[in-house]
Amino acid sequence: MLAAAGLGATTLEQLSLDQMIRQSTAIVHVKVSSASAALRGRNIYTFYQLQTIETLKGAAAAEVAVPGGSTAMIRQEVAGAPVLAAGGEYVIFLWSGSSGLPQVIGLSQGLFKVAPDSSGNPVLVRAALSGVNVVNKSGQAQTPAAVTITLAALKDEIRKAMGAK
Amino acid sequence: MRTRALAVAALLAALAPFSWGYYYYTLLTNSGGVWTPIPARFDLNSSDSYGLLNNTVTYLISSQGPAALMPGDSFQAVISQIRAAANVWNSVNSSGIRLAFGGLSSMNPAGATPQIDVVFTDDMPPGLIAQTQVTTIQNPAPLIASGASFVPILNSTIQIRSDLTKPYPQPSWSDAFFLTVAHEFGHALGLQHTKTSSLMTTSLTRAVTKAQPLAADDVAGISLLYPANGFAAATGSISGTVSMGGNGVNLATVVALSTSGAAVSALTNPDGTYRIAGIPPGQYYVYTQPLPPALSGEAYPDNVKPPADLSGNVYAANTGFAGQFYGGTTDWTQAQQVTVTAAGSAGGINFNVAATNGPSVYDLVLYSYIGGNPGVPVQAPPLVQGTSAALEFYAWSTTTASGYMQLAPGLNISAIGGAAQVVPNSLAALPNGYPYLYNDVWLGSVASPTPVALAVTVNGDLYVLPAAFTVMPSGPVTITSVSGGTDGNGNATVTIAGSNLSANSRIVFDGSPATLISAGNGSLTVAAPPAVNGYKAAVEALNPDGQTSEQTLGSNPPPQFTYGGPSFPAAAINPAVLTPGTDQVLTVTGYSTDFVNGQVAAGFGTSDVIVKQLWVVSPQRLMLNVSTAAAAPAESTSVSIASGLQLETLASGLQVAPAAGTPMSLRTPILNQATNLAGVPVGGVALINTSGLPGNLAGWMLTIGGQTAQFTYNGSQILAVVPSGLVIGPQVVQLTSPGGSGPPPVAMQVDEAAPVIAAVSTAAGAQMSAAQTVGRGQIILLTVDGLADPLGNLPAPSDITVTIGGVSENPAQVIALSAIAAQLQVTVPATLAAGNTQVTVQVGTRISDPFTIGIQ
Repeated sequence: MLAAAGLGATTLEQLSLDQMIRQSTAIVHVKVSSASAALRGRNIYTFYQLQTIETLKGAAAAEVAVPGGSTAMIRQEVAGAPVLAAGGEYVIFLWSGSSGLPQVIGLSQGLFKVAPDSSGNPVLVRAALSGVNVVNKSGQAQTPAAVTITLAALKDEIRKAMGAK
Repeated sequence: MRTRALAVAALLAALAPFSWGYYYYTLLTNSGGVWTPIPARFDLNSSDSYGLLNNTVTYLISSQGPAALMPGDSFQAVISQIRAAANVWNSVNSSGIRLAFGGLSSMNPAGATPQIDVVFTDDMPPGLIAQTQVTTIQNPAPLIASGASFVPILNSTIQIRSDLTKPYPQPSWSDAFFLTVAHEFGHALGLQHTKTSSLMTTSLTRAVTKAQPLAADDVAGISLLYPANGFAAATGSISGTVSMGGNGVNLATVVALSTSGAAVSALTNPDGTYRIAGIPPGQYYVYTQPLPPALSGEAYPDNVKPPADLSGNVYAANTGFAGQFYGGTTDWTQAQQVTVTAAGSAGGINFNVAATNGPSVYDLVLYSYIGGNPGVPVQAPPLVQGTSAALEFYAWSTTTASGYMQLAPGLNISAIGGAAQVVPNSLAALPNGYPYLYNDVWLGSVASPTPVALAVTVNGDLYVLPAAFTVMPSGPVTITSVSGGTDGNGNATVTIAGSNLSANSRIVFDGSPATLISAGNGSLTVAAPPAVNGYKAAVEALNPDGQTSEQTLGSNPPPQFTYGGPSFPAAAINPAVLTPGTDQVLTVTGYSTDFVNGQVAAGFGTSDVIVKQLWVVSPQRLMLNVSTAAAAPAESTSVSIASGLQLETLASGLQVAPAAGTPMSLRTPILNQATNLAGVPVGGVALINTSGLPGNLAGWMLTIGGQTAQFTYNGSQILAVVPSGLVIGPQVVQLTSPGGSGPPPVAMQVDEAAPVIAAVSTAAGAQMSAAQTVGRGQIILLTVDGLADPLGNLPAPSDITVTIGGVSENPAQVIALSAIAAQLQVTVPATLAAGNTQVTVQVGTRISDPFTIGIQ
């Protein structure tokens, strides 16, 4: 039928979980230790230092670069660029191009905050993972906020996606 | 990076207060409980530290073009489409900023003048198609404290994928590529997203096209950020508050929706106050609705970066409320309309909204099939009047848990206004498990393209999608064949056949405009823009109703034209040294080039050198007045000369000399003292602004076109009489001291004599004067001498401006009466007051003396 529509912004294209698993160069479960901004060419990136808890795909990463930020003299705004919290625990789908700069895949799409659920199991939280929200049978809109997946379920998805390669 | 001092506060503080509307990259200040949004934008005051030259921001295109292109595509085509996308913003007469092609650049280092870089990068992760970085000073607090009304943008960078083949095929000829780049240029200028289906709306619900890329909201957004030409006086505003439980709602979208379909919007301040400015006069529905929640990949609702205060506190959007029309209803037929007048303000348009968990429906993606059966799916489709059509749509929050659409109880969709009507009981889920809903609409009769908004209601919530589709008087434009040839000089004449082509259709070759030669029976013959031998250009038709021939292509390739003619064009430039802080004339000599008037742009690989005037003297010769920033670093720069799809590049074609003292300069353009326009006839008085000259020019000599000109000087301006015997066109102006020194030479336009209105008559032939009056709305005929060029060619009606009582129009008809005289047919504006009023005729820089007529 109809082709998938692109998301705007900063012009984005929505990625499925399977696409993110396949197209990422690494998937890491990390804690953010610190952040600093630096110029790279003419662009500012905010570099978040990472403490690796577990590497789910590829190699561990010491940092992730997010476009935008502030140096001593200038500030750069990039609509849609995520902000990571120091001390925050995340699963990040990383992508490194030919320059080797590790970035979050799809600007924010590959960034999941990790938090324990009511049973204490780690779950990945991010708004609208599947890109759709639901109405229940009575037509009431459900909260269009977080979609969650357990870390264990994500590992299963990664295994399946990589196994089917 | 830029290292300028921050000593700009005093100058910025003197600027006019900012007129708010739309949404920008915003800082918030609060004084006495009143929020003031401070936008980021380029500084148009050239004397400021971050000021632009000549209200113009230069965009540079990385000389390292895309690494991979779709089959049949080329870097030259990409450049052409980028230039066309930038020109979208130059088409707004009420905007004070202009974008200028700066040519190809190695991008390092940046110029001293703010600029926009367009780069192709491998460093863009999957999921991104394009992004724009807007750079401002890190700490604007001193500026704000001294009263600045904006934060200056230092530069912007548009990033496009280097690989345009994967993971997202992006042929440069596609409308999507063009609109993406035009959208990113909007970001680069300081615009954020809005929810009005305009160019600055995300592509999910964007309804503009390559033929009509700007909507009313885009025009308002850029015109309020860079005001010019009386935009504020010609438009009105609506203001009020959006509150919930007595508290203001932050970042609520408030939209003024014209009863004819146009939409202009704003977002609320943290206290819920809003003001939508830049609204064309008329009747409006006003509604509020929340920003859509952040979707996958979006960091903020609708990827609108929320405002922050000077302490860094971010004021996030409140998306937990139900939408409503002004009047407290979700039914548009019950909504109160608001009247907007020119320069008027409709206040107190307040909303008291109810809390929800979030919007029930948002980002409704709507398609229909056009171009026959089965047709091609087109988003925000053009639909032909007097027919019915099926609409398919997908909304982000109306699917079942299994991903299929289901109708929510009470879900209702209606078409706002009278141009279309949703067929009763036609709303249903698409069968076979496709995750879409559909319904049918009846399209009424319209005199002009009419955008139709859809109102969706469910659970007491309201979602409005402006310009969900457009009712068109005629069907889609298509191209069925392209044929033609190129002569030995490179002039290509091409015939385009298809459907719904007319003399008003624009034909573009890889985005570069062709010139109409003739319109025949279902076909057009055009002069194609110049290109080198063997170049293959995609051909597209753009109709004034907004439809494009690409819309019906689907997955088919576009029609192409292959050029013959000369190969290997080259160019040389003289002089090869630029003096910082001056204006000067350059001459470009081409070899195997085809410079065509209106098709040529020159760039110098830096924002510190801008073109102020350009003349195409012949297919192989250009003259340019350029201005070099005083702070321009001493360096060699590239030169790029584009003529249509031809591009000549000199890698190190110019050298900027080291700055030395206060340079002397004649400032361009040189004006006609009588008209203030940049063209002076022989015998007329030229007004030349200067800088750096001594206070007394006794003994100095001024020549125009090599002839000595009599002049006076008051310490800052020269008034010079243009000598007789000069050829019409650009002439070099040189000021020389007794010792032989002087400012760099510049060029000025020497015009023919101004046209003369010899007589004015009514359509019935009655001669008019102050005593002989005519009614408003009636046709009058002007007999005008001296309109034709030296070869006897009359200008096109679109190149002639007739102004009656301050209201300008193009004549409906131009008829040659003799070798000297022509007759222009115009209509007396309906808005004029009774009494005597003046009529003038202008062609280019030539304007007639006024002729007085009486209005009944």
